[in-house]
Amino acid sequence: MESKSRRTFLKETAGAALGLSCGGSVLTAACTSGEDSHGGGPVESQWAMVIDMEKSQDPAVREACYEACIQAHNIPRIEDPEERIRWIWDEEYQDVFPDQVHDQLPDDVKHAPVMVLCNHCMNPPCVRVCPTQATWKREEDGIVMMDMHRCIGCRYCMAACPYGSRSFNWRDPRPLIDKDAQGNVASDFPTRTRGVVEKCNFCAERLREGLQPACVEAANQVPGGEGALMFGNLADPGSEVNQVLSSQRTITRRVALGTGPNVFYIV
Amino acid sequence: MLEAAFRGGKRYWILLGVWGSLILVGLWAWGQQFTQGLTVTGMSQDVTWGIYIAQFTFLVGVAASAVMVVLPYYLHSYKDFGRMVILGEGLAIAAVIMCMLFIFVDMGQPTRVTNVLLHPTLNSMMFWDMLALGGYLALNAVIGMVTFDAEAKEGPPPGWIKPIIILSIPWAVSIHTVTAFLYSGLEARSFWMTAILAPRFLASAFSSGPSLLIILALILRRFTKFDPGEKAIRSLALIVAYAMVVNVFFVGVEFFTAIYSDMPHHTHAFEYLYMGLHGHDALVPWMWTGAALTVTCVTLLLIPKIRNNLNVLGFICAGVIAAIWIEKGVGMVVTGFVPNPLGRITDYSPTGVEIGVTVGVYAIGFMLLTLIYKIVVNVRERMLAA
Amino acid sequence: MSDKGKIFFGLAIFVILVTFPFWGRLSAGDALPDRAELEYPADEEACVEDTPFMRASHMDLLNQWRDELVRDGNLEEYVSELDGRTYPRSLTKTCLSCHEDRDAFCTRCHDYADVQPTCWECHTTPGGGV
Repeated sequence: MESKSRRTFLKETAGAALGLSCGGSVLTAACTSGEDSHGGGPVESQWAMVIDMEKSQDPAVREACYEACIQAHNIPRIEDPEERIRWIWDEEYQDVFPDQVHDQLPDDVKHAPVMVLCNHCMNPPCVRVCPTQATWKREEDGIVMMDMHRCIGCRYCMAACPYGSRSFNWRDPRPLIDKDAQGNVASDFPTRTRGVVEKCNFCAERLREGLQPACVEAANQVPGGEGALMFGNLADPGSEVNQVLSSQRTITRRVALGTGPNVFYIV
Repeated sequence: MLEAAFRGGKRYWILLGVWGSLILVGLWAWGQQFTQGLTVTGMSQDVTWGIYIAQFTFLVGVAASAVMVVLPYYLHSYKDFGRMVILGEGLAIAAVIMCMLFIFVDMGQPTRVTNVLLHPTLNSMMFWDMLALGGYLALNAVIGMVTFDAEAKEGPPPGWIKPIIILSIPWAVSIHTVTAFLYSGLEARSFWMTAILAPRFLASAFSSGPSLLIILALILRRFTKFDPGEKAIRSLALIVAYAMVVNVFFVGVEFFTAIYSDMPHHTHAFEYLYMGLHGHDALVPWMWTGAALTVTCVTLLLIPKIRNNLNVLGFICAGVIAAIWIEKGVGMVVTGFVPNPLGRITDYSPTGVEIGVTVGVYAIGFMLLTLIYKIVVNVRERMLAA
Repeated sequence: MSDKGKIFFGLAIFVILVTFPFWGRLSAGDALPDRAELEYPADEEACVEDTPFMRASHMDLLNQWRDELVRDGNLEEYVSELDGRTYPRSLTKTCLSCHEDRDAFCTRCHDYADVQPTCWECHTTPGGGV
């Protein structure tokens, strides 16, 4: 708690210092209108995900999640890792939790697959650096959103993200998206244009309709995958995620950076 | 005054022709990038910034270095820089414009560039960098034009320009500081996240910028009747010597912290640069070349007899520029992305298209510089003749 | 004064470039129709707002919807000032559910007006049509 209040204090001081420069005509507009709240301001509620690493060891579970996400968001299939678009995918335990790895750890633990996605951080560095507010932390539910109309493709957010959770569209993704016999893509979720950055949005478009994120729903439908991914709101004391977080041993990625991830892992 | 840019000898037009054809190459390359996307570059999901942002960083330094002639001349009345100041300001103008172009060509959606102004975002260093660079361009353009106009009319510059000149001094420092803050505020990249990055940027700027100015002054001496002055050149060389020593010291400080603490996150980047990491050693020959150039140049600069020899100085300055260009333009940016946050190492090398665009942007800058210097030289030659 | 020729030459080039949209279009030789032939939805009387407003400002309305939904997270439906009916703020769900044939409406008019909106680079027609 102490570190959190210090962070808030630093933020307010920095804000005040910046506020002093709000004299210029260009700046005045931004200073007075208070356009969007951005940076790690307080949120009214916060969606969070808990991933059960044991249950998600089953490749069928993970594959179902990835496929569901690809279909729900019309994600192009790009094999080349240099250009691949990733929302939720596999990484090895040693790369996901580099601070937890030591020499005595057996190889199968080091190389165990872990599902990774955007952490929808409490204090997201990507939001802090974005020069156009194309990415911001939504106040009402804590989702780190992307506005594809606003993004100028400077890729500063990708340099700032400590989790590698953001992907840039190096080329027009449309020709590489799955299509049915009629040439239609799998969902009405807008495809992206080249030159913008994208990432997991916690299925904001599905939450809006009262649905669970596509990956969570898909995991629950795989035999043995029930509860591999749990999703809920931290502001709701009775939510499944709160129950798990208060009763089980969970960790998040790279805690020392102070970003406050909202994707938790049951060890 | 401006009409001088439209009259010149054969050599002048050949020079403009060279820049012009390189600009055409750049336009063609940028056209490829604009229609196909940044896939035509060597950048990737892991190394998201490459040669463009690296050149931007290097050139911000060149731009900032004008302060090294402005400050002694205006604050300390160091009169020997009298004929050098306008050259520094002209170089700053050309360098800032190249910086802006390098940011522009790096964008995924260049047609949306105005979003940065339409939605000003105070918490983004990129917004502040844009303000700093735009302001610095305006300051140098106004100061350069007003003072030079007064000089051409052989009168004193108007009094109101003095506070603007004073303002341009801290402003020059700010452009490179804010540019360093772009990098050093990122907790994701331990190679960049060092408090000494801004001071280091300034030190390397104050060695590479004045070096370029010395070379340009030597060229003008050789090919025109205008002489910025031997004493001025020697004073600049001294500045380069000091700045280069300070730069080496700052780099050494970085090395010590990383190597003595032996923290993997901190040592990896240096290993990658100088020894190669897990077989990835693309930058190693570059970095050792840079190190050799740095040591050689610093040694030569510290010997007054060699430093003051104008026949050798040009080569030393070229060495300094090359060393700093390798440090900032090759090593600094790419290494921040190695290894990536998930421990993967992806090598980066620019593609032909990327190099074409880069050459084009430099050609635009040098064409501008040629035009500015042509006007300056013409006026000066006329004054000499009168 | 010896530069008179050069100056007029430069001015002439400038005028030619600036007037390109006019003579470029004329010299292309395609006779312009008086108006775009649009196919309107058969079973609807009105759009979300009245026709003159939609014709002039549909793009502003869409941008407003976009910001309200995506940025402000406003989930309530848009209330028409015309008749109080409500509509989801959605290009695909609301607009294109009536204007089923995008080419016969949107594209035809955009072609006529010679504007190139970028909406369809990302947005689909209902059912994932790209």
